[in-house]
Amino acid sequence: MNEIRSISAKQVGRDVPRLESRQKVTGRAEYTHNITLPGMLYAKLCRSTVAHGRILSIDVSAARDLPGVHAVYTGETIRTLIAEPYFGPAFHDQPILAIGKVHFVGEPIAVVLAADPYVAAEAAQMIVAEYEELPAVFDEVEAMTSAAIVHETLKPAGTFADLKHLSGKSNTNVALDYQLRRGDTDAAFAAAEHVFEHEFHTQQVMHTPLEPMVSIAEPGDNCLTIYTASQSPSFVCTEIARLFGWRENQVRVKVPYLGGGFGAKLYIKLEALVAAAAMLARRPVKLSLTMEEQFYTITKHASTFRIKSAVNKDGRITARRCEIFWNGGAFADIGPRVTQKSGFTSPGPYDIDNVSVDSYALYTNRPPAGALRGFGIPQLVWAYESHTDLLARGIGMDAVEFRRRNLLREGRPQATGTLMHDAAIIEVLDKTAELMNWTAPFERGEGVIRRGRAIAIGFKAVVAPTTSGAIVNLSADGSAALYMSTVDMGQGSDTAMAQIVAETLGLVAERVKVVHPDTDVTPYDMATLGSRSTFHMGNAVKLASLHALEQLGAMAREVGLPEGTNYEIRDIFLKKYGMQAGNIIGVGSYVPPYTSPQKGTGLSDNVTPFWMVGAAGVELSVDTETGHVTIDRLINVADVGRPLNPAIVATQLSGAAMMQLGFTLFENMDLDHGQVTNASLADYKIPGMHDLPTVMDNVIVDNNQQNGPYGAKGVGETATFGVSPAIANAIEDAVGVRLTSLPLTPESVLRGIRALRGEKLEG
Amino acid sequence: MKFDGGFTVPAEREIVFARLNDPHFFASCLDGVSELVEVDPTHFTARLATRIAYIKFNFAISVEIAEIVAPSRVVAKSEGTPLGIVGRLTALATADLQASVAEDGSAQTEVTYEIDVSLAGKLGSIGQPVLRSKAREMERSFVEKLHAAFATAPDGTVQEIVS
Repeated sequence: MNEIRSISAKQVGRDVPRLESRQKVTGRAEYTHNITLPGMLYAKLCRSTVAHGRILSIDVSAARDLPGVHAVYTGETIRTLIAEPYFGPAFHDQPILAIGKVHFVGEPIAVVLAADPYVAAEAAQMIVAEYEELPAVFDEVEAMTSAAIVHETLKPAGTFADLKHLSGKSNTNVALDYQLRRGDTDAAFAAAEHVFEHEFHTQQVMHTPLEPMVSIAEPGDNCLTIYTASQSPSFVCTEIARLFGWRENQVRVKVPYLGGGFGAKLYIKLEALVAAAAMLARRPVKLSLTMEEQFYTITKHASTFRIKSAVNKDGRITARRCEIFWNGGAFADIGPRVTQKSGFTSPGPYDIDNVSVDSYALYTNRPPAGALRGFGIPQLVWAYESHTDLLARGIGMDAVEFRRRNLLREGRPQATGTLMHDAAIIEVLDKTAELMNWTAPFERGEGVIRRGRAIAIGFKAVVAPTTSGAIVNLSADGSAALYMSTVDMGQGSDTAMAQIVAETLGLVAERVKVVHPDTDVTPYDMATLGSRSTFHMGNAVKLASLHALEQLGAMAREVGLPEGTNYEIRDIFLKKYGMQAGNIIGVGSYVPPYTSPQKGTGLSDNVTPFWMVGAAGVELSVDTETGHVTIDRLINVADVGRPLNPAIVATQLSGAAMMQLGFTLFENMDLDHGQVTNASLADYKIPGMHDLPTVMDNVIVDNNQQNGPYGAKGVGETATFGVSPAIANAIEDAVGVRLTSLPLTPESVLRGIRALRGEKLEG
Repeated sequence: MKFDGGFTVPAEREIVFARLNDPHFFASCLDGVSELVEVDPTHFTARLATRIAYIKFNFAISVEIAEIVAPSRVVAKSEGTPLGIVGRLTALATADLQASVAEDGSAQTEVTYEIDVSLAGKLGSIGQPVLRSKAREMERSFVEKLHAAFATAPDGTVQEIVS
């Protein structure tokens, strides 16, 4: 079929249905789980049963002797192939299989390969390991001073300049200490009218992608093809090549659709293990985790946040001190980046002259923690917006008015010194207050039901201002294909990027083909994370499309067509080649400017190319007899720049808010001596339809991100920001109970109510 | 998982203490214990067979008596490995014995205990609610058997003093 150019593009801002929706609802979308290869072996893992210990022995003989078992490997076997089999984006601290020592309950110590996955699973249970148990540390604050040291020596990967000074450091669990110093906090506190200090906690939770992690490696002749459910195919390629001492072109990484990622499938997870096992066995190897195993693989940081503020008599915040402890678990993963990047914005979206931040990444003997939809920001907003409400309450000022008085305005320097541009903070606050009818009287409930309402607002800097590349192939019939390594994990990136191609080239978005990540075919992209794709890849896609358009214009001129010709693309090609032949390749690459923060002060004139701003407004009812909280209304208001696809943006906002609702009200990984005791969906509850707010509104404020593609910016995390503190603030508004630890369970609410009444709650 | 509780045994403290320190007697009060081996006076090994939610498990158990203060306190550390599945059971149990006098004037002993049990591996990750009720069941059965062994009480029952 010939491609017809759209008369007026208008592809951006249109609710284009997801390009893959038909494939998904008919079960035809490709997922790594569905891939099998000839001669493929299934891998099953044997995991550590102690939180911290030296490995005395691993007896794999019974497992190896089980009929049907192809091979059993331990860390020592891996070492015969790779001398230093440690990986990680920030530190090379994670062994492919444990070597010498185990660092948490659930760490993989051996892998069994068999053609039948059930045989492999049975054999994995026959492996007997002996350990000399070592003292363990589980709490992030205790880890600062604990005698239990998780890693004897720190091994920064060398990727990040601010980690290099930690190389070879021993006798510490601190994997990064980020400091920000601005103004004179001591003097400001000494002169303050009011000083408030609080401590907040968040719990360890899990991403729970409904498609658990899965990777396959297929060995070739000094090369490997890896099929994997990964958010970062380019990183997998680089890191596998590094481990094997290969060129990048010896590793091919292919990623189809993902059944959710949320940060769980970033960097390397299972890929190094399947790659090593496949090279040892000389057969394709597939490892699919169970839901239970995901709890041992990557989680969200538990945290402790100590926050202190000085407020003057006019209700202005004059100083703020933040101390944040991030529980990174046994391996750093991307924790040091969470620590630093979230450190930038930990004082909140407020204009404060005197700021001091200390943000610590800590190793503990828990399952590792990494990025989860917000890169630490939801933990921070939870604390600083709970604190903000307490400040307003403390000086007797309306919570919205107090925020309005203190919020950062266009052109003002944020805590790092970077000037605020294109961040609709005030607009988001005002829109939230307007939608909540904030100035009108509020129905307070009656009898045992008490009602409350509150708001919270947060913001985020870009965590990865890094490189994205794209290729647009314009064929002789006028159809276009987009080659990029952004991973569509359900967020709708294929559709949004196709809209950018279509808008730029004057095509119809539905007919743009998107070629999925394949490092042999699609260009480099740092990763699909931290709401970076719309902006970074969007800009690269736009540049590639413009490059193709420029070449098309040149071709038209070459065949004698006037500037601005209305000839169809195919006719221009026909004139040039005399037949339907040839193509135009447009390439684009984008990396935004960024200035690393100065060591010591943490200041920078450019920490981010754009800001994400999100607020939540909550109305809720508390049953004072049971402590049960019903969210009557949740309003999510966001600045997303100009939405490329408003319908998809709305689903991103509602999805993020629902996810955060689970982290706020009930999700919690229970640990007993380091063992996760609720590692299944039977015991670890995620939100279901019955848990959703009675009413939920998702609203976008008008804004234009000037350096974004067609005015757009990232949106995947924005609606997570305000949910937790808005609910906690509304609970206090309803029943006077202030909760400072997540999750906000009915039990904790009820204990608070009983405590206020001076009644003891049993147990 | 932490458990605590207590019960009253209708016998003198010295007698109760001596019996509780006899591994063969102690094991006879626990369901499913077999192959008890006394390695030395403070170290024992045994096998424990139990059913958890309709699935039968066998544990190889080793026990170390970590502290003895006759006739008032015993602290035991146990470690068990389930057979055929990767896992690890650890328990630290403390029992305190207090002498008292029953209403009829006869000597009795109040036993209070604390047990901290943890289970790692698949059993620990997904089975804790089931295990908790199983542990409670084993605890009840232990108390009943212990009482039966001292079945000289006037009313023939063991009185729980802490729930």
